[in-house]
Amino acid sequence: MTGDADQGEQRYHERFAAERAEGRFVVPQCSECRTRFWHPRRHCPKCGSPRIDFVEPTWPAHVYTYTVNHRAKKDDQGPGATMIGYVELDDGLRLLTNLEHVDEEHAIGTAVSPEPHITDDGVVFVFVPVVS
Amino acid sequence: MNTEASAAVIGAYEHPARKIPDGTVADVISDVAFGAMKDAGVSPGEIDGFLFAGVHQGLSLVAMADHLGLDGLTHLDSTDVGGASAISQIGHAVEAIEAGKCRIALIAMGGRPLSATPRPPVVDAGARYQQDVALSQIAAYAMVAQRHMHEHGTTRQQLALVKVAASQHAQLNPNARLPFAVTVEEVLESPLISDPLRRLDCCVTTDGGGAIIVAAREVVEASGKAGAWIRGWSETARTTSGAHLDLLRGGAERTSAIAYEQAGVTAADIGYASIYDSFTITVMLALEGLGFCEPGRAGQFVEDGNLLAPFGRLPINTDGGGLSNNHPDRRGGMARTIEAVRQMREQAHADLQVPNLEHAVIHGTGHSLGTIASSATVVLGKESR
Repeated sequence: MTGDADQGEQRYHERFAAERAEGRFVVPQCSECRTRFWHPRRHCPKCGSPRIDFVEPTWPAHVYTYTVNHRAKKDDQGPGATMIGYVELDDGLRLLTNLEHVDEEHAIGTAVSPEPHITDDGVVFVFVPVVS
Repeated sequence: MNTEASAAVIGAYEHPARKIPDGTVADVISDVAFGAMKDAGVSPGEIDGFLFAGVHQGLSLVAMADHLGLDGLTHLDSTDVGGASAISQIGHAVEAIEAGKCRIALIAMGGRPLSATPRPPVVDAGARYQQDVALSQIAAYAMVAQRHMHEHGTTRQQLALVKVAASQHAQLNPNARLPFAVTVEEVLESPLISDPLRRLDCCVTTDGGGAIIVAAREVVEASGKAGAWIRGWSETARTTSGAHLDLLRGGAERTSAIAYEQAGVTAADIGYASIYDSFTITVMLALEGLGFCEPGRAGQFVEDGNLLAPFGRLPINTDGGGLSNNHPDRRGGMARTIEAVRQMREQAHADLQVPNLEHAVIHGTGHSLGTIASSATVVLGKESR
């Protein structure tokens, strides 16, 4: 095993977190077979390679499905109605994420891109409609 | 294939209570395990296979075996695939019997989610990367329902009709948590939880449990309790495929194809189905995956009244299902299995017994169709081949 691969194996989560902290929404991509996937993990789920890069997708993504969760946390202790959904990237990858300002009546198909929000827990990404 | 079945369900017992304020989870499991043994006419010493998933409750299989006095075990299986566990375990029991590892297997489960301390959520593997998303179990299934409505024109009324059918059956079950019929309007007026799913689109939460005894052919024949032969089975994990997932395929399309082939049947031969109904949309995806209608057509299939016993094309969940009867330990696999066994033995409610029933299917969906799911299918037959 090469030193590089070893490094990749050991530190994928830290590299991913560093990208997020910089406000970049990235997805893992296998540097050998080029498969993109979600979520981050030690080995490519297609070919098993431990050489994982993080790449920024091409925006916009499009809303694949959604829900407005009126009880976002147990016992109504949460932030109230929260919109979440899967967004589909141009290569077909479907990511579970937070949505904001998306028209509920015509949510599916809406073009969206990620917006970093700085919270007490670090950077959280929310997908919002792309202004055309 | 249609090979001769090598095992059958010869005993079944369901806890009659839906809220059990006193005692322990082990007490509940003991009640149902001995209930099933009594029904089958076997004693603890005769049980040589034990299938039990209790680690999520802090109950190990070995501790539970000790508690029940199972001193003659030669086969252990603690497969846990969430709510579908009991259905997966049926297949595993038959495989062990066919391999000569045991002859009389006990499958048991139970829980007290209404009365016991909630267990901590499991956060592992990929889940750590979604913790910033307020994903509840209901929200996950709601996203599946939204996509089904978008792609196939399925309506909220059609979703509601799954609940209406369950409630029509539940009104004849005095043990049911909700033993009354509801209307489409009542479903659509119940509180919105996660759009489009409303409170009455969701299963009940109950205490309780159940157990069955799966036995080898020679035991079945000696017992005089034939009638629920295990003819085919299959299980799978519907993963997210690295995020290339199709939310409208839950795994049933894979498991039913294998189980039907093994049983030598097609969907057209199935007269009754016990279908895991954590939510109304769960049933819709299963109906399509099990081949009872074309993909995307479950809404119309439900609207046509096919789910109602005894004369619908495919009566389902004649006990009222998880939507109206029970969902012990937040796992419906065993409860749905037991009603299928009642149907095969002609012990369902007289008004809901499917006449001349030859084949039934049991289908379970575990974990979450909105993310990662398990799927398990079992075909029961009146005859062994």
